[in-house]
This record gives sequence, C-alpha cells and structure tokens, in this order.
Amino acid sequence: MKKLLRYPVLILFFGILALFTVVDLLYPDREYSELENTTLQQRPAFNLSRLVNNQWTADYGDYVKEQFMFRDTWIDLQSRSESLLLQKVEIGGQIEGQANGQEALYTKQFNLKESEVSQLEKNIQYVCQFLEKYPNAAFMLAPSASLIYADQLPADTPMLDEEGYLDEIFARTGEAGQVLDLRQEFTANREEYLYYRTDHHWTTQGACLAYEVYCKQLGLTPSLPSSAAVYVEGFYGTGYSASRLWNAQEDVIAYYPLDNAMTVYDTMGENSFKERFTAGMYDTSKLETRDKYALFLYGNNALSRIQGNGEGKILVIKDSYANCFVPFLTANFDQIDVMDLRSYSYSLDALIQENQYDQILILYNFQSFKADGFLSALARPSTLQ
Amino acid sequence: MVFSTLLFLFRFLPIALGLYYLAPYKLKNTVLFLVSLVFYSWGEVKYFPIMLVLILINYFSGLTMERFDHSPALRKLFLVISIIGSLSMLLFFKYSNFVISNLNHFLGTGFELIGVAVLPLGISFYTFQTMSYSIDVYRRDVATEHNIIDFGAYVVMFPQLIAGPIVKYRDVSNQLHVYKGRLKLAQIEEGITLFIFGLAKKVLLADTISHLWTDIIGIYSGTVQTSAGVGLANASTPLAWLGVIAYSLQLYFDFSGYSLMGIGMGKMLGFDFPQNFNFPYISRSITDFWRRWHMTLSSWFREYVYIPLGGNRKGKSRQMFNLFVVWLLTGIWHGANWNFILWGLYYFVLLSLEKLFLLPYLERSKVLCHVYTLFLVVTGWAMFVSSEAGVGLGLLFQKLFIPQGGVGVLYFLRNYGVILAVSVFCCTPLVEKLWNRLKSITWLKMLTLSLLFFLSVAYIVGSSNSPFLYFNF
Repeated sequence: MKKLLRYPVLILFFGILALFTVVDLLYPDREYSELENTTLQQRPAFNLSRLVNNQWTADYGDYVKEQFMFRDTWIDLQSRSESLLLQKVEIGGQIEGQANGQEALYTKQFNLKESEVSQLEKNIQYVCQFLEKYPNAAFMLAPSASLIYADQLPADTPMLDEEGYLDEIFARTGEAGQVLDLRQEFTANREEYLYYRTDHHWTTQGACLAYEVYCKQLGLTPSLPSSAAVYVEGFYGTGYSASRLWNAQEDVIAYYPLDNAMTVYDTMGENSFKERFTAGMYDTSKLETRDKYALFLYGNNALSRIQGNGEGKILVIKDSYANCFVPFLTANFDQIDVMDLRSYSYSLDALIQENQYDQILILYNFQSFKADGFLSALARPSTLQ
Repeated sequence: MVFSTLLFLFRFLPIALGLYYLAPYKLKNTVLFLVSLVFYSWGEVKYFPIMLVLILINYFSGLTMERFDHSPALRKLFLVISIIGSLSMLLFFKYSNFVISNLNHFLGTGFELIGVAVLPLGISFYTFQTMSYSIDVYRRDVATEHNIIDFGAYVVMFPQLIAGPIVKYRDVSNQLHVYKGRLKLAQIEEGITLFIFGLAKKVLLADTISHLWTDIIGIYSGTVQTSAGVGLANASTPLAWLGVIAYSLQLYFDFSGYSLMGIGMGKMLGFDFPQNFNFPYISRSITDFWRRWHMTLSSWFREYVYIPLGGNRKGKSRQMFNLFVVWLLTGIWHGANWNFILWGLYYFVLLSLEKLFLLPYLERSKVLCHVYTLFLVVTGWAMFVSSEAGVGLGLLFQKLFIPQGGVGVLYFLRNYGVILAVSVFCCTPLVEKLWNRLKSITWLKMLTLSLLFFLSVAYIVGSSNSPFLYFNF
C-alpha cells in the first residue's frame, strides 16, 4: 500500500476512471434533452441478429455517448474552453458577432451544400410555377440576420453571398408573380430588434415590419393589435443551444395576447383533415420551457385555421418564420389558413379550390428555403377528381 | 472501437484493465486475447473469423517451420504460405476495388466492385505484424511461439491494433512470456501519462485544428457533402496554404496521438512498444523526417524489404531501385489510390536526391534546412489529401502554386490563431522541456494531467466525435 502511494498519478487516474464509470452507470437515463431539443438514445435491447448487423454495438455506443453523466455540463465546459481558452469566434456552427451593440449569434453558412444548390434551383421553379398558376399568390422570402447585420460579424467572415442569391431568386420569381423583398425595409430599420440574438428566427418586431411591408404592397391597411404586447424574458434559442456561449445575451420574446380561435387539423389525405383541437393562437405553456418560440401557433402543424377579425380568406404556406407573423393577419382577414408543407405532402389545388382564397402567401426565410425538400407540393398535381 | 470515445474510456477500458489486473498471472494473456477480440469485432462483428484465420495460418506456419527445421525447402514453403495468407487479406480488402475500377477504366471491362463497406479494423497494421513474425521465425531471429493464446494476444492486442505502432513479435515476445511480475507500478504510471497526452493530442489538438481544413473543403460522409465550406475553388492562395498547414498539423496530432495512446496502454499492460514519432516537423532533411515520422513503418520496410533486396550493398543503381520499391510500397500502403502512389514516389525522388548529393548541404545550413523540409513535407501532405472528397489534386496544386485571390485568411487566423500557435508549439521539443519542468513538482504534474483529461472528456462529449483519419489504412 505504501508503495502504491509513491504513484499518485496512477491512483488519481484509476480513481477517476472507476468513479466516472460507476457514476455513469448509475446515472439516470433521460428520454429527451431539452437543451439539445432532441430525443436521446435509450439502452438498446440485445438480440443476436442486431449484433451480427452491427446495429446493437452502434446503438450501445450512441447510448453511452448520449446518456453520459452530466452531459450538459461537459458541453458547457467545452464551449467555455473554445471561447475563453482558444478565443474562437465560431462555436458549434454559430458565429459570435454583434447586433445593435450586443453580443449576437449568427448561423455559420460559408456556402451552399451541393445538395442545396440543386434543392434551391428546384424550389425556385416550384414557386414560379405556383405563382403563375395562382395570380393572387405572393412570395415573401425573409433575409437572414447575417445579411442585414453583415458588418457586425468578425472581420472578413467568408459568409455565402446571400445578397446575390436573393437577387437571383427575386428576379426569377418576380417574373412569375408578386414577390416581397424585405431587404430594403429591414436594412433601413436595423437599429430595431429585428432578429433574436440567440435564435435563428426573426422577432415579433421583425415580423411586424414584414407585415407592414406586406400590407403596403397589397393595398391593405396595416393595423396593430390594440392590446399591449406581452414581453417574456429569458429566451435562449437554437443558436445558444448549438454554441452554449457562456456570455450569450438572453432574448425577450414578445406576443400580442389576441383571443382569436385557432383550430389545428391532422392530415388524413389530400384535402382531407380531422380536427385535433381548437384553442387560441398561443401555447403559453411553452413559455415555461426552453424552446419558447414554439409559443406561436402551437409549433408547426399541417393545417391550422384561425378565425380573423377582417374580411376575406388567406392561405399562408410557410416555414416557422410565419408562426409569429400570422397573428398580425387577423386584423385584415376573416379566415387565415396556415399550411406547413413539412406535414402535408399532397397537392394544394383542391384545398385552394374549395376555399376560394382571396390571397395566398408563401412565406419562408432564406436558410430554410435553400434546403427545404417539401416545396415540391407546390407543383404537385391533384389526385382527386 | 475508437479510443477517443466515451464507450472506450468508460466502458471498455476499465473493464479490460480490471479483468487483466485481477486475472491470475497465468490467465493474463487469455484475458488480453479475449478483450482484444471484443475490441476488434465491435465495429464489424462479421470480421471476427478473419482474425481467427489469420492467427491460425501464422501460428501453424511458425510451428511447421520449426518442425521441418532441417528442410530449407519446406521452411520456405511455409513462410510463403504465411505471407500469402497475410498479404492476400490485405490486398483483397484494401486494394480489390482500386484494381477493379482501374481495370474497368483502362481496359473497358465491366467487373463489379466487391462489397466492402469498411476495412477490417487495423488490417494494414496487424498483417504487417504477422508477417514480421513469420519472417523472423524463418530467419531464426526469434523462437517459434507454441502457445496459440499468447500468439493470438500478440496479433490482436488492442492498444496497437488500430493505428500502430507496428510492433514486431520479437519486440514483445519476452514480455509475453513473463507471467509473474509482468506489471510494474512505475511503468503503469508512465503509461497513464502517455495515454493522457495521446488523448489530448487527438481530441484537443487534431480534432480542433481539423475544422480549419473542413471550413474550406466542407465535410463529407462518403461522397455526400453534409456541411459546406467556403469551397476550395473560392479560396485564395494564402488560405489554401493555411488549410494544408492545418491539415498537416491535424494529421500529425491525430496519428501520433493515437500511437501514443497505444504505447501508453501497452505500458499499462506491461509492454514496451517502440516509439513511433519523434518530433517529425523539426527535421532538418527529408531523410531526417522519415527517421522521425511513423518510425515503426519505416523500420519495417527497411528490415523486411530494403535490406533483403540488398540495401546499399550492391551499388548505387541497385540502391536506387531498392529505394524505389520501398517508396512505391510505402505509398500504396497508405491507401488504394493513385495520389498515394504519387506521394510515395515523390519521397523516392526527394530521398534519392538527398542521398546522391543534397544531404551534406542541408547539414551545413541552420534555418534553410527547416524551411526546405517543412515546405516539401507540407506539399507532400497536399498530394496525400488530394483524393479526399472536395479536394482534387489539380485544383489544390493550382491554388497553392499559382498565386490568386479569393477568400482570405484573416477570419481563419482570428478564429484558429490560438490553436494554431499551441499546435506549432507542441510540434517542437519545447513542449517536452516544459513537461520535464512541470513533472518534477507533483501537484503540478497531477493538475496538468487532470486538466488535460477533463478537457478531453469535455471535447469528446461536446463534439459529435470526428472519425479517426488513419482508419482506412
């Protein structure tokens, strides 16, 4: 024993190895990581055929990795080392810059992926076809924060040329129909709080600006809710989750407490829906969780129908950017149908024919538009008679 | 299984070491053999029989060579059988598709590729080890191994299985037969230290610096791009150089880190493996570089190819031919692709030039020899990496050697400046000097090692672990 004490490194290392292993084995498993917004691998059941296919060993490796004790703390430690020891400005795919004098995180995008180059080309064509088919449709594509605040990124950050892509997209879709380019208005108002500092979405204020641009272009009267907005502090979004930046500035999420009813439907088939529930537009229980942006419209559902206070009907085909935009439309329309193509892979023709919408709005932001594989539904022919 | 995973660190390693330490001394090799088989089979269960066949072929060849000690012809026959056994596996798994696709390309044939998704773990390393055993037995440099468990433990021993060092049987045969008193506390402690340094090299340096390179060329899973970089085509000449330098650093820390972990774990098990890297980037010539980089591979080729061919004893032109063969094989060993062959021949040319006249000049210079060596080595790595998805030999060399504008280096120096500086420091013996000073103070030594270990674990948890570069070798 006395001899062993002469080797402190040996005692320390084997002690740590044994301690970590035992604590990790006893450490309770989690179903879900709220911080990472993902389900975690559970202990895989052993069976021989899965072992032979290397499935069991792979799953077990993932299980140990994802359920490792104090996983969140280790990730925080790595993030701190990246930013404090290594002085990096890019952590976990988030680039640390500024916005209006405060720390802000921007999604790193140096180029389009090879798959995105072809996807973007297809998506432009789908939108063009749709705009040509439905003259009452308009296409709004929101720019990324990293474009509006390009000068606030670290010097010479080689971000992709979103300006150039947007020029091309609007030039081509603009020939097919009505388009809404927000760049000018957003740049002019960039002192406002247009984008979350720790999330990839625009803020309710940013959406409000987009709403005003939309109204102006369509000849509608923009009208803001009479009730005061509710501000909720302590929002740390997806950018924070990816980077875990130790000094990230919390965001404030705003919403107007409107009491318009919203019915959420499940998809049963083409133009066939079944009501799931009817409630308001806001799922305020989400304010207690980390993913506070899911407050709006109960997240991303296939079809939601909102009772508005205006006149006429509008269909909004959208990604999650529209979730905080849609409430503003209640002032101008009587029925607002919100369609998320990620949960509805059929033709839209029958739905549009049945409802005789006055307006159709396609609303995406550049980052999802370049990669979204679900826009093909815009050009899909109906299978109904 | 990969060393730098939680699965290895906090499941396999404690269980393997625990069983090994607790086992009665006569069973230690059995335990080592069994846990190593689990380690080997973990990623691809179906390759388990391949390992057994390889062990059996070489084991019985050794026995028969001993049995027919008086018959040179039979001894030669069984040597050839064992070498064919080892080499055919390596050739089949590693080079079939390369040969087939080249046949199809040049002869217009239509052979189908064989369906090998991943190579058997460490096949380039353990086939070289089994060959060294048979050849040494044939040459009577080492006694035949009679115990199949001991022999199996040598072949599949997990610390050196994936990435070397390439341990010759005679390097460890004595230790393998020391049953009682194999373990020494001082040696285990030294092994732990080396293991932690190796882990830190791999996880903290190699994996971190690798992002600079992937920021340029993107990240690929097979041939599918999963993340876009700025694109090599858009990079300026300075950025292309910075990228290749980052890659050179990554490759060194990745490979030497792995080797060091292997050597460290070898010591924890009571074995002394040969050194594999000795600060290669401070070399004063290419000749010097290859005495410091992947030393066990160079010494393998020297001992089993170069010297049997006659080495330098049969005249200058024969020596050049021998060098050509060695470097052609070295290139091919590194991968089944033309760029590796080109890379090997590149070193044949450089080493020949040095042998013929250049070396005396280099030895006289103080600074220029380092510039010369580093420039040529980094250029060599550019050839080496050129078969990766997103690179291309022509494009990369055009970027490097025809000065042009494009995406600049400023952002990358800002983001990777500290890690680049730390990496360069760790390429020099200064890091060893620093450690020698630190380790004389016990608490400082323990603090440094704990810090490196904890940080490494944090990086393993934090990053979805990057695959080991030298895997498909």
